[in-house]
This record gives sequence, structure tokens and C-alpha cells, in this order.
Amino acid sequence: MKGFSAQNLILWVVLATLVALLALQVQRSEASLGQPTAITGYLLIAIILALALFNMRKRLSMVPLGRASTWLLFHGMAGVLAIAVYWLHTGTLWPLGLYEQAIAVLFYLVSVTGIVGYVMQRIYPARLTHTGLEVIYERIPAELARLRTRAEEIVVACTNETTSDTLARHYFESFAWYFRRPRFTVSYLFGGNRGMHWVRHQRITVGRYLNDTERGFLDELTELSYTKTRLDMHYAMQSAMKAWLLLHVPLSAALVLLSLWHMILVHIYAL
Amino acid sequence: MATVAMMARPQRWDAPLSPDMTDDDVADLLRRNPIAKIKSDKFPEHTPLEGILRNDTRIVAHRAGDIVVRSGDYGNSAFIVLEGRLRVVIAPDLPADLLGRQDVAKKGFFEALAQLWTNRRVPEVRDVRRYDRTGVREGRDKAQSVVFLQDVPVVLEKHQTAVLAEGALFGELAALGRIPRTATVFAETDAKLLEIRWQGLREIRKYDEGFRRAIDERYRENALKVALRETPEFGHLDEDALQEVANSVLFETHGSFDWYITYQKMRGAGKQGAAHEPVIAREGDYPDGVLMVRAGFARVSIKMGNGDRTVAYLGAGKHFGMSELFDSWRSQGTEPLQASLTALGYVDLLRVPAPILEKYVFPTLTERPRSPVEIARNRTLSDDALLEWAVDGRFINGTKTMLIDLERCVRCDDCVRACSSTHGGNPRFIRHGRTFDHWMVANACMHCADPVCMIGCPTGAIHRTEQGGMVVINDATCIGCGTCANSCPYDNIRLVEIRDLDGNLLLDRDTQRPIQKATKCDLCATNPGGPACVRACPHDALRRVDFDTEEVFRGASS
Amino acid sequence: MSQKEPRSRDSALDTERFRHDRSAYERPVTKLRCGRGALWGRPCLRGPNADGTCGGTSECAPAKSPTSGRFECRRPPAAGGPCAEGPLPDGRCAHRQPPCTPRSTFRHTRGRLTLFAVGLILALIAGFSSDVRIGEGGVNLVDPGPLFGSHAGFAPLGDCATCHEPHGAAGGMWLAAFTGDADMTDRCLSCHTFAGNPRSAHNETFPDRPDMAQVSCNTCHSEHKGADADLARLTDAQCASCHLDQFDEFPREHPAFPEGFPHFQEASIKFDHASHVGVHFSDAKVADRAPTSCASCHDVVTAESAVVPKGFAETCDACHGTQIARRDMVVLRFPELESSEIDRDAVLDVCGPTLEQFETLRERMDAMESGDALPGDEEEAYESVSTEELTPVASYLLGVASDDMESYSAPMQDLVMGMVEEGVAPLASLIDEKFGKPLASRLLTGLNPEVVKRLACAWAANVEYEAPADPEMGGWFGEGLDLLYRPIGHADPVVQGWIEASLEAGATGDEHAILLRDELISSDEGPGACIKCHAVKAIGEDPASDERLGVAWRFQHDDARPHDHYSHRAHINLVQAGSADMSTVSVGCRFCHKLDSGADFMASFKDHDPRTFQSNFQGIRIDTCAQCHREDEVRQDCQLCHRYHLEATFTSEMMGADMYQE
Repeated sequence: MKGFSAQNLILWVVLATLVALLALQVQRSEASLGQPTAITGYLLIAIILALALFNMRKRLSMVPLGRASTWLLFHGMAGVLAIAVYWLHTGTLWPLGLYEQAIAVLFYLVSVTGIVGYVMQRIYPARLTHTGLEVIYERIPAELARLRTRAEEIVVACTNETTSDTLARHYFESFAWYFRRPRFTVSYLFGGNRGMHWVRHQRITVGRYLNDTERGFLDELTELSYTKTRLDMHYAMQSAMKAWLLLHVPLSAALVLLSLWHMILVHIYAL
Repeated sequence: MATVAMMARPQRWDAPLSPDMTDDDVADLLRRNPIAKIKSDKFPEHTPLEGILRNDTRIVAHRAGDIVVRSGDYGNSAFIVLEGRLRVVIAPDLPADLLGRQDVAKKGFFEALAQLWTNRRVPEVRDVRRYDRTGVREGRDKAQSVVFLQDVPVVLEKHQTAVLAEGALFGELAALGRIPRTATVFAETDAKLLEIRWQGLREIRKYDEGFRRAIDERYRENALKVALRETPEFGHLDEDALQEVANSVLFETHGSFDWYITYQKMRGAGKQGAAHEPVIAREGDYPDGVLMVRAGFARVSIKMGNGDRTVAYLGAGKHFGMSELFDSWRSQGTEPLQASLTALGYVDLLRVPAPILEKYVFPTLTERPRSPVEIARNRTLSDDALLEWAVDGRFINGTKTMLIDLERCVRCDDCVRACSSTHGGNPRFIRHGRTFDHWMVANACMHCADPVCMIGCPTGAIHRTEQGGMVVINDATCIGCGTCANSCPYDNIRLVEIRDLDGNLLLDRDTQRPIQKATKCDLCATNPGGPACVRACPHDALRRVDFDTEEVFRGASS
Repeated sequence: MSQKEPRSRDSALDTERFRHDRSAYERPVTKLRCGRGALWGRPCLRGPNADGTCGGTSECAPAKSPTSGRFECRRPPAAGGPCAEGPLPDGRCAHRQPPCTPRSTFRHTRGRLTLFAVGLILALIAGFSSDVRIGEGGVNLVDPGPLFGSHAGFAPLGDCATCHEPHGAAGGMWLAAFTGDADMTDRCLSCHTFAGNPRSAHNETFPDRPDMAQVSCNTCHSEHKGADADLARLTDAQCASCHLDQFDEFPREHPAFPEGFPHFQEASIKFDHASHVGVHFSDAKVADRAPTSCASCHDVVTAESAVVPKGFAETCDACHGTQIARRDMVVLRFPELESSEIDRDAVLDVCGPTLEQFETLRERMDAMESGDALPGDEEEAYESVSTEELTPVASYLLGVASDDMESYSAPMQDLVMGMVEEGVAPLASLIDEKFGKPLASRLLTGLNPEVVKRLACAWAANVEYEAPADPEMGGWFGEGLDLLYRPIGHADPVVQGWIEASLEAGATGDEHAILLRDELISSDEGPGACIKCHAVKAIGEDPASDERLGVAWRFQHDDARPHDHYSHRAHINLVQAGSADMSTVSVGCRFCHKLDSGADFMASFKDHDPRTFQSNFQGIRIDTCAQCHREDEVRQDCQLCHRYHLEATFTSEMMGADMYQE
């Protein structure tokens, strides 16, 4: 789904045509006193189950079932199709009836989280690459700890060498907080770079009270902090790209169940 | 490393092949054929024959049934039979399990599917009952372990063999020419062999004419004509012409056989680039023949600014200097080389003299061959930056390099999960590695064209499969010596501590240390459908590429 | 970390970390991760154990070397290789730390959240599946939307089982309901009913199409669309789903209105609009009485599908009122008799002498007094005073032909005699007997027995009766040889009664009755001039074979097209019908109702066949309506003018109490 290749464009056009044809068929069916909600309902549940199959496919890479990228393309297209078919099915943006409203809430949440997730996955990877740094998510705490240790070494070395504790005191007031854990996560999520600004600001804040030797250590510390900034960016964006699934997957499980129940109820009461 | 200290300059023979060679052994060897035939006065003072014998050779004892070399293995030593009788297997070749290799049997669809629930959470579990069938004898030094045949007479009955008696020399083609062993050799009786490592072999060949002629003759006879026939330039010639060509071709090798060791050192010291590589041909020199690469890689570079700009790299089958010689022939003048040629690690060349080309090749060419320099003139530095980096990192060696496009990769680790799901819950690569621009070469086995990891494996556990040409490790025969892991220049092989079915660490009975096995990517050889990592990436970020065919990295190469 | 750790500042960028002895495989399917790392400390190398406990309490697991017999540090190279201190003498690692609390990884948390979501939904479904209500208002969780306002009341407190049988029922019923059809038509029919089969299209039967599919209420109407939903609204396309003749634009594609639409039903009043509007109303003689606009006669206030003409009194009376009383009805006429069998003495007894008789008596008495010879007691030959025939009434009542003197002589004289002696009674009983129904009290309403007697006395004495005066107020009177009834005014019940009785009698086929009937319903000569205006039409199924006739006294709504619906009310003001002058053609009623001066309106009534009716008005064509009812202008949907159901009403049970629960 990355990039608008000609092949993808053709698929989208085909999808749009299908939706148009379906809408037309629904309209005609309504005009001839048919029950298009039954058809769109079955179609919708089939699409939802097909969408849910993607989760299974991700666990089944050991058998040749087609590329996951193809599956993702179809997952995304089926998701858009599902939204269109959902609206054809309900005929309205917000249904009456408590169960139906619950399904609507779940459906919209799943769709929105899916779209947000897709957008994130298109934007963040390049940003991560542009930090100039690569780190595996599970190793971030270790890297952070290493940076923190090194920062403390610098400060200790500065104090030892210059017998002045200015930098050390400032460290405990500011950088210690900074190195304790990843910071400015929200800023990085939205493409900002608050961390760099903060570090630069610290440099200015304490610089005027230091002599040249201390400033040398401050420079080292600042460089380290910039590295930590990039590490924080990785933490922020990689966390986001993992955490959105914590909403998307459980919500869709709930949606599948509730939709099946809806189908059962409709059959019992109305069909 | 940053500090300055005094130390003695490292010497050639600081690390002898075997510390057990005594002067008596050397004296004894000098009396035997074929060593006796070598004229020791031809050898220079700094590398006397005795020194070679003492430091670059060793005496190896084999019991009846031991497999000395396996067909398909890469090796860096030649052997001379001192005592006993050996057999070389002609046809059919020994089955894989007798050679200590594994049978690569692909799982069926449902068996592969069953991995979904049979994979274990505990890392690196092995069913040790599978290990008992192999015949591996461990030596005092792990590196001296050997696979042996349990039933020699049966083997002799079933397979056609030839005898290697006292004085026979074998294995030099692989040691000098970087080709896999062509046949399996095993000991029929208890035997004593003289193993000569390639350094010594090269010296002997260099200084002793008789030896050189003998080796070259054998090479010309056995391998060269076959190799020439496969080239487009000479493939169409008839037998006589081919013979003439074969007789006039010169052999050259450049770089060191175990280049990976020096390469790692140099890289650690930050010394990379053409300036630090052995020069084969220099820009501006006048060529007297075309250089055809038979094995290994060479870098084509031109001077640019204060450095050297890589214009192309040449792998097996490529040639250098063709366009300049062609122009010379056409204009009846002499054209100098437009670029330099340096050895990337180890390169084995054929030098085809100009008269041969003028007689057999140039008249048949329909259009003038273009030199890579001409092609490079239309490319910018940015165009070729990726190529420079790949050549410096020796990634050009890879035929199945794992390349991750970092602008597509969402760091989801689905590829690692897929890899672990096909290997019992244990991943076989790590999603980190060197990066350039938005490309990462991950730490996954590249299944190199020149698999240096295979050199030196004592049991042949790491081998190249016949079907796919992929480099795999037979878990049963691996003794965990770590030779391959240390050799790999790209850190793609890792040793793991194995556990039994209950999850307990398996300890060696004698040393109480955990048993280790070497592991690496095997391109999902035992799984249907090929590499699972490629299938698993939801964003098409991961590819297994052959640098030779990958457009992004070709640069100006044709 | 040991000295092997490279001392470059940017350790995160250092490529030495790729070394195979420094960097171990990552296992991304683990459930737990080191708790120290989760708290941003330095995570241990081994990670949590498979059983969930901390795996990093010590840096290595020291083992006894078999050769030296001492414990050796077994720290992996990735952590720095064997440590300098070595293990403690008892074999424990020297570098230990308190255990952490391993935390879940993202993946594991996701799995648990999913299980939780699944469990939650299952619990909610199980808990609120069917018959559970929330709150006092009674929102049933299964309710897919509010019911239509009127329907909401009979499923109070969320009792869905009123319509949905499986609601609150056992599992077996649910299974059957799942696979079966839910046809709730019977429930609808407990309140709604129609003039035809509810399940057939339009509630009509189509004899040509016995195969036509049945429908249920659900086919067109869906509930649970909100309290203000329009249940009856359907789109044109939905109507077109059955009709083969499909179209979607009213003006161009709707079938043309039939010829003469909508004036198909024969008028009950023979009011010739053309002659009146064209000629009579403009006559100067009636200028003070003539209506000026259509609304003068037609009641626009109550206009719906018809603009009903106001009654006679408000409309026709001004000009035609006087004509009614001018046409008397001759009930009895003393016919010509050959001889008289009337007992003169009896007559004398009852009636007294006639003038002539009295004169004769006086002459005799004078003669007797003067001694003159008595005039001869000549038997004078009987000479009937009347030369008339019987009236058709008498002809019918006596059952004889009016000119058959021999036949009617005796019965007539009996009747006269009876009238002499008993007054009205003989006539009344004759009427009752002959018509077969007790009609006499209606047909002879107001007949003064005294008049009857005097009439009869005169006729019996063979003289003409002399009425005291001309009855100006109408009613029964006798004159000369006639017993007459003069209509009092419009809708005179006696004349009307006679006309109806004669129509009914005429249907029997009795020739005299037919003659009577024909006389009474003669347009030009019938009594009261009723039939001058009121149309007589055959009322049988087949006028050709069925002789029955009837008079439509009142305005009759045209019920022939129950599925059509036109409301004049919506259009009245548009054409200023209430005020427009009827002579202008471009406004007012004449905008749509155009006079057809060529139609032979009056002649079409002569054959009494309603099917040969020729209306005064040209048929309304679809163009007229389409001037406004077309796309983008006024509504042009089917439901505007057509009704699907046949007389949709409510059942009587609907008003009963059993629909409501306590």
C-alpha cells in the first residue's frame, strides 16, 4: 500500500466500482421491496471475518499463504469496503437501538484506529530513519541505561577534574530528570523536536557559569543528550506503532462477536 | 588501541599450523617424495622450505574410515599421503548423512502449519535423541574433530573409488583456487597425511618450478578448460582452439585466502577503500591481456579528488581491460587502462594474453565493449554512494542478503517472528545491522558467493546444499567450535546454548560447560515456500537480494 | 560493564554492538520482559524465566569446573565474559541483585486485552440477551429502535413478545425462529383490516392472475424506525416493483388518463352544464337568480374527491322550483263505463243526492204538488259522464288494460263503491296487495278520506266532482273525474314513493306495471317533474337482460376507483375556484373541467343504461395535472394520487381491552 503504484490505483478503481455497483444494487433492491439489508448484512459480516483473518495470517508465515504485504493491501481495501457496506447496511450514520449503537461505536472505533494506524505506519518509518539511529525496541532500556551511565561518568569526571560542582548540581536539577526515562514523547509523536530544544536550552542556561574545561564536558554531555533525543524519538514512534494495535485488535474482536450476535438476533426477530 | 606502545612486528610464522612439528619431522619429510623433488635452494632466505614445512604444514593421523575431505566443502589445505591408503570417491558420491550433512527434507504443508502450536517457548530446545546416529569423533582440540564412516566395505562396494597411495597430492585445487572440493576422500586404512595450508602451498608453488608446473598442469587439465568453455568469450571455440587458449592462459591470485581476518582488523581500524587493498592493475598502466575473474571479487576504481571512486566491482565471470585492448587493436596503438583493479578480499584471475584475444575474440565482437568508466561518467557521486558503501562492507559477496528498506519498515518484528516460527521458536537473525541512507543490511546470513564461513569447519557441519546452493549448518554434527562464527565478516552466525526437552541447559559431561551449536539463517530450507521473513513483512520492506543482480547497487557495472 | 565495552561516546551508534558474541537473538514472542527495563533501569541479560520469575537475580550461574574442582564464573561473553571476582565460595554468583517484577510485553498485553474484550462482550450478551429491561421507562436492550408512536403503546414496558414470538422464550424456540420465517402479518391484522384479502396485492383479487404472489405486511412496512417515522411512505420505484408498466416520471411516462376521465359515472341529476352555463345562465330573464360561479352550486368548503353540489334548495330551486308543482300526478280517473252497476240507493245513502238528483226530485215534488203528470220514470240509458280511460295506476292496481272497458268496468265500479262506503281503505288495501308491500301509508300520505268519499260519490252518481278550490299548497285533491296529487315541493315523498314503487313493480315484468312505471318516469310528463332532472338507470348487472331500474335521488360518490385519490381541497385556491366567474375559462373550475359542447348529454339518459353516459365535460388529460405535478415542481409520487390498500380501517377488537396488559 506504500506509494501509488499503477497496480494499486487499478485495485482502488476496481474497489470504487464495486462499491458503486453494490450501492446501485441496494437501491434497486429497495425499490423492488427486497431486503437489501439482509444481503449487505451477510456481505458485511463476511468482510469483517475476512478482515479478522489477517490476524491469523500474521501468525502463519511458516506456510506459504501469500505475502503479508498483499494481505495487508487487501485488509486495507476490505476495511474501506467495510465502511461503505456498513453505511449501505445501516442507511444512516447513527443507528437506533442499543445493540446497534454499540456495534456502531465499535465499528467506528475500529475503523478510526485502523486509519490512524495506517497513517502512522506511512509517516513514522521515514522519520525514524531520519534520526540517523537504529535501535531495536526491546533494547531501548539498555541503551538508555548506557547513556545515563555515560552521562553520569561525564559529570563525575568533570567534578573530579575541575573541583567545581556547578555542572553536577545542574545535572541533578535537569539532566538527571531527562536521562531517567524517555521524555517529550508527545512532541515526537506529532513530528516536533522538543527534546533538542530543551537540551539546547539547558546548555545556554548553565553555560555562562562554567569555565572552558567544564564547557568541554558540557559539550560532551550535550552531544550525549542529543543522542538520547534520537533514542526518545525511536521510543515514542515505535511505541505508538505497537500500541495502536492494543486498541485495534481487542476492539475488532469485540466487534466480530457483537456482529455475530446481531446476526443471530436479526434472524430470530426479523427474518 | 589508541595508546602508543612498543611491540615487535608481527611475523609471518608467529602462528604455525601446528606447534608439534619438530625438526625431525621436517627432516623426514625432506627425504620423502614428492617433497624431496623440491629444490630448496630456489627458496629465498626469509621463507626457506624448511620453514614452510615446519610452520605451514602438519602431520595428521587418520583412522580407517575417517573422512578426510568431503566433496563440496571449501577447504584451505592440500594433503600429501605419507602412509596408508586413501580412497577418492568417484561415483556416485556418498550420501549426505554419511558425510555428516543433514538431509534437507522440506516439511509438508500441515507439518509446517503444526509449528504454530508445537514450537516451544523455551529457547533452543533440541531433541538429543536425534544426535546419536552421527559418527562424529571429537578430537582433543575441537578443530580436529572428524566424521568417520562406520562401514567402509559397504561404501567400497556401493561406490566406485580410486586409490590414493603414498606420495599422492590432493586437495590443492580447493586450497589455491577457491573452488569446493571436487570429491570425497576417506581413509581406507589407518593413514598419516601431510596437511599443507594454503600459505605454504602458495610459497612452494611460487618458488618451485616443478611443483608449479605440476599443479598448473593438473589445473589446466581438470578445471581450466571446463571453466573456459563456460565463458561467452571462449565457449564457442573448437577443441584445438580451446587447447591453445588453455595453454596460454596465466593464473594469478591476489589478496589473502582468509581475507576475512585481515578485513575485520582493517575495518576495526577504519582502513577501508581501494587504497588499502592489494593492487592488481593500476590506472594508466598498459595492459598486456584481459583479466578474467574466476573466483572472488575485485574493485574497479578511478582516482577522484583525494580518494578513489569505485566504479564497479567484478565477480566471477567478469573481465577487466577488454575495452582498452579492443581500442588498441582497432587503432593499432596502445591504450592505457582507464581504471585500477584491486582485490576485494581474495580474487582468482585468469590473464588471457592480447594475441589470443586478437585471434579468437575481437574479430567476433559486433560492437565495441564499453568500459565501466565510460558508463560511470553519466552517474553522480550520489548515484554510486550506495555502491561504494556496499563494496566497502563486502556485501557484494551476498547472494541472499537481507535488505530492509527503513522507510517502509515499521519495526514490527513480524519478520523475526516468522523466522522463529519456522525454527522451533528460535529466530535465526537479528533485525539490526549496518545502515546506509534508508537501507539496512540486517544480520542474517547472506549465503555468500564466497562462503568464508565454510573454511575450516572440522566436521563439515556447515555446508552448501546441492539443491538450492544455500549455506546451512547440520545441527547434529556441529560441535560448537565457533570457527564459522568467528570467520563470518558480517557477524551473521551465532552460537547458542542448547537445552533439552525439559528446558534445562545441556552441559558437556567433561567440562560442565553448556553445549553450544552454531546457528544462522538457512533460507528456510526445511520449510515449504522459501524464506518466511520475506513473506511475513506486511509492508514489503524486506528483501533477500543478490547484489549482482540488484539494480540499486550495480552502479556502473554492466 | 567491563573494559571490553567500547568507550565511544555514542554507544547507540556503535557498530561493534552487532558482533555475534555481543548481540544475542531477540525473541519477539516472549510474554514477559525484564522489570528493571520496564522501569528504565538496566535490564538483565537473561530476561524473565519461563515460569514468570525474575531471571536476572545473578549475572551468571557458576559451575564447578571438573578439572580444578572450584566454581567458575560462567558469565556469557555478551555480558563481558567471566568476571574478575569469580563466584562466592559456596557457589553463588558474586554479582547479585534483588529480583524484579517481570512485566508483560506489548504483544502479551494485547492478547490479554483481546481475551478481556471477548469475555466482556460474551458476558454482556449473555446478561442482556433477551428479556432484560433497563429503567422504569423500559428500554429493552434488544430493541433496535423506537416504535412508531401509535404502536408504542401496545408493547408497554418493553414487552416485545407482543409481536415477536421468540422474545423471552426458551432456546428451542430461538433455534426454530432462527431458521424459520418471521411473519408478523397476523399481529398487524389484529388491529388493521381492509375491504379485501390483506395478503393479496392491493387487497384485491385478480381472477386473471391466480398465481400472483401473496405479500405480508413486512414486505412494505418496517417498524422500529422511530416514533415519528412514516410507516406508510413508499417510493415510486417500490410501487414499480410489481407493476409491469414501469416509469419514473409522471408527466411523460405515466399512462394517459382514460378517455373521459374522471366523468365515468352517470350523473344522478340530468343537469346539462353545457346548456345551463352556455345559454340559460346568461339569459337576462334569470339574471337575478343565475349562479355566477361554480362555487355557487358546488360546495367548495367540504370539497374532497368530489365537490358535492349543494342541495336543490340552494341551487336549482330559484329557477326550477315552480315547475314541480305544475305537474300533477293523476292517480285515479273515472273511466268511461258502459253501464253502471252501482247501487244507487247505497250511494244515495252515503253520499246524499247529487244536484241533478236533487233537481229531479224537486221537479217530481213540484210535479206532485202541481198535479202534473210525473215525468216518466224512464229508465234513462246510462251515459257515462267520462270518456276517459283508466289511469295507469288504476290499470295496474286493477290489473286490467286501461282501454279494456269490459274488463275494468266491474272492478272499477267496485272500487268506486268501496271508496264511497269506506273512503281510502279500499284503495289502500288494493295498493298494499298489488305492490306486495305495505306501501299505502306512504303512497297515500295526506289523502283526505273525505275527498275520496266525495269523489267517489260524484263518480258513483256519474257526475263530475267539483272541487271547492284549486289546491295552491299542493297535496291530494279531486277534480272532475280525477283524483290527483299535486307535489308539494322538491323531494315530495308521495311522488317519490310512487315512482319507486312503480320501478320495483316494473321489474316484475307485469305489463301494466311497466306502463305505470313508464308514465311516472317520463321526463317530459312525469309527475312533479322529478324525472326531468333525476336520472333513471338500470341497476342490474347486465342492463341488457336485467330490467330493473332505479333512480339515484341523491348525489352519488363515484366509488368505482377506490385506489385513486384526488383532493379538490388542495387545488381549490390555486384556481380561485371559490370566486372565479364561471364564464371565464382560464381560472376556476373550468381550468380543469372543460365543457364539451358537442356531447349529447341528455340523450344518453334515455336508454337508462349508465354505460352510455356522455358527460358534459371533456375528459381531463394528464397534461393538465402535469403543469404542476412534475419533476422539480410539485410532488409527483405515486402515493399522492393512488392508495394501495382497499379501504384501510381498524378492527373492532382494536378498541377492546385485551390488547393492553395490566
